[in-house]
Amino acid sequence: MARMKFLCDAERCIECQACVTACKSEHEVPWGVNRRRVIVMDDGLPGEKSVSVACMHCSDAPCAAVCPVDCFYTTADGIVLHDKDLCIGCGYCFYACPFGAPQYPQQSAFGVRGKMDKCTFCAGGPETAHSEAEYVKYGANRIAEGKLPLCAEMCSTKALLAGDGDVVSDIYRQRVMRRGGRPQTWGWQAAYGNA
Amino acid sequence: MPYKAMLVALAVASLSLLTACEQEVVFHEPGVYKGKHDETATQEAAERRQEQLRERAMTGMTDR
Amino acid sequence: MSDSNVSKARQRRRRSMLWSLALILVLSIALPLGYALAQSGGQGVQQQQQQRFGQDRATNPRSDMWREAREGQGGFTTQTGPYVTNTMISNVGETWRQFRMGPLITYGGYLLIGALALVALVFTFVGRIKLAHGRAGMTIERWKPFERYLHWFTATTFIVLAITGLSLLFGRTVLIPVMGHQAFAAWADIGKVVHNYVGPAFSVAVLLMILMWVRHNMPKAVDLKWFAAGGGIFGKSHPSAGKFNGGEKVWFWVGIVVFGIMVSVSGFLLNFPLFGQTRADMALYQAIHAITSLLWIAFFFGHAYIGTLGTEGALEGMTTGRVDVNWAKQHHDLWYEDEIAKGVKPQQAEAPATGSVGTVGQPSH
Repeated sequence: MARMKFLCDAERCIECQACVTACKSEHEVPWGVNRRRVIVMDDGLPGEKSVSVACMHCSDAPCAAVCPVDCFYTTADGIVLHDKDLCIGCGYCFYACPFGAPQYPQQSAFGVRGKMDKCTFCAGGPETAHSEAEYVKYGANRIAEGKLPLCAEMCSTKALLAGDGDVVSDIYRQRVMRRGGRPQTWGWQAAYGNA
Repeated sequence: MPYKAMLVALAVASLSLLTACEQEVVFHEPGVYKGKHDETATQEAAERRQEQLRERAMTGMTDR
Repeated sequence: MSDSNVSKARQRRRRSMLWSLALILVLSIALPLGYALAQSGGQGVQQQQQQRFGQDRATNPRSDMWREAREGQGGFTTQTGPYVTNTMISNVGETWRQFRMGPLITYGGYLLIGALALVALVFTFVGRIKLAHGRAGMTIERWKPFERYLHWFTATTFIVLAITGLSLLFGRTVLIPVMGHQAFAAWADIGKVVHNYVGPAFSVAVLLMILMWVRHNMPKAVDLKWFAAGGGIFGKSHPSAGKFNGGEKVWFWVGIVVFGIMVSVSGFLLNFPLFGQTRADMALYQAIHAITSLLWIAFFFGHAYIGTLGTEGALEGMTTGRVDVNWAKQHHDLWYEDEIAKGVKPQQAEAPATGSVGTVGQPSH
């Protein structure tokens, strides 16, 4: 069985933030909620690298393990989804998640959290596919249409890969073989040396 | 003393309810969900789209 | 004779078998190792490998970046929002998950069940502490109205907070199999809101309680004697005590002061994520909050038992404010003597519901 995965090639990501924009636009994610974000390491220094991070759809997801109301579930091909009708906004998944994927719209004063929102791998949620309810709660369901997540599909440098783990790792392996395994044979070091 | 015996019996009975507890805390199994039905999550749906998504990845993600 | 010969032969066989096994094991380790050492000319292998590895790392700048990311060092992100973080990988989450789903839920559950079982055992085998000389029919004021209101306010909110809090911690194992997901989610949603709003009120009440009762709870030498005599629960003697006995002082200092302040402070920080708390902070506060609350609830079982079922004539002090004189003499003799010395006059008890009301023309209060 396939296992859906994201992979971001740090050698190719150019920090254009298009994945972030595409995600926000595709799912009409509200202000202050970011399903996907680009993190730049060593910003402004030699060796700067950026990686696009969202929910990584873990096999043994910590969010699902700590959820007090047990609202998470995994699709047969390994996409971690959750039920917003059950979510109580306790914030536990945010504490447990290594990638900072769970987000909460703030609904009222004192930092009271709304229902958790996170990357769905463009697979919607527990509502009828393509229904209004699904779109409002979870965003578009591209997977049901046979499409992969928009962030990866429209990545200009094909840095962000999404799909079955086998396929994605095949593509990435071929890529690494072609450009050579050592980063110094490709990229900044090859062009400018160890400056 | 029947009152005390009843109380103890009640305590034992209510504690024995705990034997109904799940030992396995991580409930989630791939494709198994106890709440509302999600068509996208089922094994059949995943199998149906598997080939389509593979083709999509091979055309969309590779360097053509 | 033949018997001993047979057993000797068997022993010899066994010994030789053991020795040959040991020899095989030693040789199977020593031979390949010796070969490798002979080939590489001794200690060189490891050093060479380390050197090569070191060189690789020195010339691979990317490995440093990934190492930093894995360690949880922050980067830069343009996205903004209350829950947007700039770290690629946060390591505290998995630790917290292991702690919460493992030891906390397991041992927390055992602790509560153990505390309940202990109370049940004490009740079964020691039983209720009776009034040694029956009721005197005269009562004396033990708790002022304000003390009683504060006590019952704290008690009710404590129980509400305990039930909602325990639902969140144990609900998935205990309640979901019984109630189902939808019903439990609705309950947990209400529970979370109630817990968050009742919590601050409870904290204020706990603080007031500390201020109100701290002067009665100063440890005295008589408390040690009280503990030595088993507090009157174990053994026949009735140790003397002031307004608060040794056990009540422990409940005050450990339960209300230490647990109360820890639970209140951690709860406040969890309730208001507005002071720049990181995920690591929140996980830590949650751990403190949960551990302390569980200990407090276990302790509370004892307090509630002693105050109601465990001691005859104790509960009426908190409900009506007045206790029987014989109860006061038996459990808090020093306090009773002080009150009498202060000129407090015991009054005739109100007639029990079955008897006639106002028989001997006692002053109504």
